[in-house]
Amino acid sequence: MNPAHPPASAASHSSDGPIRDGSVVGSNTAGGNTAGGYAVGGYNFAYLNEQTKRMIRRALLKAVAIPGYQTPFASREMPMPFGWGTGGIQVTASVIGPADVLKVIDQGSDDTTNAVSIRNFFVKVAGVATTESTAAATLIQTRHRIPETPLRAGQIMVYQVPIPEPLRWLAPRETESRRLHAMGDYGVMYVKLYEDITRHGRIATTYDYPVMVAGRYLAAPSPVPKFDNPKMHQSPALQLFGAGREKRIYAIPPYTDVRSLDFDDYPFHVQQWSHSCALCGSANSYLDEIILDNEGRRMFVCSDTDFCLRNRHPVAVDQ
Amino acid sequence: MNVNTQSNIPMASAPLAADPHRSSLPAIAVRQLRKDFTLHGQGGARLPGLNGIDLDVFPGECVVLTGPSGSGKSTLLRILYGNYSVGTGSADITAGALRLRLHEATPRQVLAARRFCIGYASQFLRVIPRVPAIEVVTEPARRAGVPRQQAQERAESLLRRLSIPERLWLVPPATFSGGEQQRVNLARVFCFPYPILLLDEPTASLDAANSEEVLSLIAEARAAGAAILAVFHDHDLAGRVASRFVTLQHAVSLQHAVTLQHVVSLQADRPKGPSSDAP
Amino acid sequence: MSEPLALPLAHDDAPFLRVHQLSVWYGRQVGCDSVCLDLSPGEVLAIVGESGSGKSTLLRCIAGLQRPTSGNVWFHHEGVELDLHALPEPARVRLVRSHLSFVAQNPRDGLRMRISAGGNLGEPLLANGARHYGQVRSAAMRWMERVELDPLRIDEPPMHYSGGMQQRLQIARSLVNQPRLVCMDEPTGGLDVSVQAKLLDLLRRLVDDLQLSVILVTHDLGVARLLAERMIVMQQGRVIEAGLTDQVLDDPRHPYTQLLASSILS
Repeated sequence: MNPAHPPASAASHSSDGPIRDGSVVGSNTAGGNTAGGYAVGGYNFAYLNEQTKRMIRRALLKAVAIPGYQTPFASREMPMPFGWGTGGIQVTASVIGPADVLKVIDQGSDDTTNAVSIRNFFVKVAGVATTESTAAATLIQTRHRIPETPLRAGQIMVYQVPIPEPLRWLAPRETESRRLHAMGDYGVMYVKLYEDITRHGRIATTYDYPVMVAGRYLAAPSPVPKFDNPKMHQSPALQLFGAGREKRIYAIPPYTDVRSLDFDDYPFHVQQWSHSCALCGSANSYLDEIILDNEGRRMFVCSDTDFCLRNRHPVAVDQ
Repeated sequence: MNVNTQSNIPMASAPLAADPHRSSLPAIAVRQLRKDFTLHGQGGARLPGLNGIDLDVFPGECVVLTGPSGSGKSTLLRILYGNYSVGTGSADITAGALRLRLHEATPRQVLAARRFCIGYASQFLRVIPRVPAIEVVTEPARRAGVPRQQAQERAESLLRRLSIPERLWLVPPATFSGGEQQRVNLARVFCFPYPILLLDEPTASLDAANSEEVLSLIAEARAAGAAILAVFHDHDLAGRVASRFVTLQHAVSLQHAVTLQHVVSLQADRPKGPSSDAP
Repeated sequence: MSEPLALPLAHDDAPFLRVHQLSVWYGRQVGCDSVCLDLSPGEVLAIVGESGSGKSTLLRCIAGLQRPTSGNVWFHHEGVELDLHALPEPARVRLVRSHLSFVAQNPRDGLRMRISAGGNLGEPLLANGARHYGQVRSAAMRWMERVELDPLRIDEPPMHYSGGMQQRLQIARSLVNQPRLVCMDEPTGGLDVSVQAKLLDLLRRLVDDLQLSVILVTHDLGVARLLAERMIVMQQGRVIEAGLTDQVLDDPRHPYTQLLASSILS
């Protein structure tokens, strides 16, 4: 009757004490075993009932077995509207275990409304430990960014995906999109990139940049900036993508080839800034532009707040 | 306008009796050829077209069909070009290694024979929109594999001889007069040395000078060994190129004005396989 | 087929397409009924008949766009005879994508109206694996010139083009992959007469220059005469007459063909 046992959460559920490795806050306060699993705060552990989790896990297994393929699942109503990350939350709820340490980011930041809400949600319904540290987390739910700190084997990335279908705006019908996937017929996506270059002189798509997963399925990593695309390639972490409204799950297993589409004469490249982070000085992280006043003064800072903080205070953060 | 003098080259001005090509197989061999037209729109009325024709045309011959209007002269030409189907009987075409039994030929075989063996000039040019006259003329030759330059030179010489002014060469013939269109049509047929020529009233709407030119073109083709079957409205002109006349009666029978005997003798040893005789 | 003679000729090439006993039924309604035909390289075959005679249905089956109820479309491919509709879908799609193309009557059905002309022309190349933007673009410009479109308008979407230009663009798009067979469904329908003449002339020259094999569905006998050497006439799903285009039109035997031929305005 174990709840999720993703590779990372090797701990048995007897270890319900908090995991204290510096950055981790909170603890698993799960009570005793109830019929379906742990009950926390009046809810079943991690909010979803065990049948639902099992259904989602089956979809996840299929998704992992067919990298990049969009697996349908019976998306549930969640206590928040679609578009707020219900897909990612259901995936997280299905794989999270009491021993997991959860990090939630939105636009690279741990303290935006969405990130805070989701983190609090899981503290409430699963009682898991949470963290802002990429390294300390076993499970990271994200909306846009992949952390700058390299992921490691055993970690799970959960992406909240609004529109999982890369061909959504290119093929007239969903049946047609599925047929194109089945045939590996992705010329139409190249037409889109062709049009980009024709209009803008370069491939102007900067987020939701299409990738080929394991050389077979075309996937759109949704709002992830193309800056982060290379991080998906051969990542040691398991990457799971959940789209609640669209009822689709797809996955990139660890160490999978993920290639961003491009042309021979217009190769894929990530955006670069002429600035360094105004706070930590990093020259190779993804920067957000912050308008400071009505005179148009602005600064560029790391979008990954944890990474930025660690650059500034290499030791202090974890204390 | 330099070669009009060609019109009085020494040519057969009278039907030739002895023909050096007589020893070879007939290029056109027609036996018991019948053709009716059933008009379903008119309650299934049957119009007789040809009634049991026998005819041979040998390489180097120019046979002129005569007969009253409606006796099936044009019909016979059209059947030999594959434009009308054979009713009953047989019609065989022999040219070099090619032997085509029109009464049982597939469309592809007819097309191939048209491309390389049979030239047909109808009374009217079927105008292809937007194509310049010079290209209308070179098109059949180029289809038959003549290099562009060579076809072009031949076409220019023909258009000059048929007095189509050079300024019209790049103009589509749709706007040409009837006579000009007919001359373009003839130039088109003479642009390639077809071993078999079917000419339907080639001088019908031409003036004297141009008629002369057409006669000399026919004579040249004959001299080169072509088998020619022609319909003329002008008996005198026809007399100057014809090796013999064949008269069609009103869709009933055929009189061989000159060589009936020969036709009969040929029927006995009709060729069975492809001939290797070059035209 | 027993051929009494062997012609040393281009058209003597063996057919690469054979349609055998092809039937399509829409419930109890006949689409086409036991149709047989074949096509050799470089041939243009016209399918004529009134609307509802099944000619478009037949064309769509040959082009792989529609599945027949019964019968076969044999396609000679790399030394093997493949039955188009018996192939697994991926193999069929690959075959169709690289060797067949389809020109719809309405350019809107065959073009992406909001994507640039270059993108429209590039799509078949990109779908077949071209990955060099510059090369795709220059190929697109060459094809625009070939169909008498101004290559400077390569970045405009077809919705800015006139109807005749759109149709020329669609024809170019159908040719960029140098398919072995082009299926055209009323390519000159819905165009002004003058535009139509220009398009016909263009088609005629493309057919000649590129030695295209074309199956052309039309109800316009003049179009058939101009472009096609052979034709079949369909009525109520059946082939009622077949043969040389000029023979069928000038010496029609079937009552319906006679009616059609006598209705030509000229």
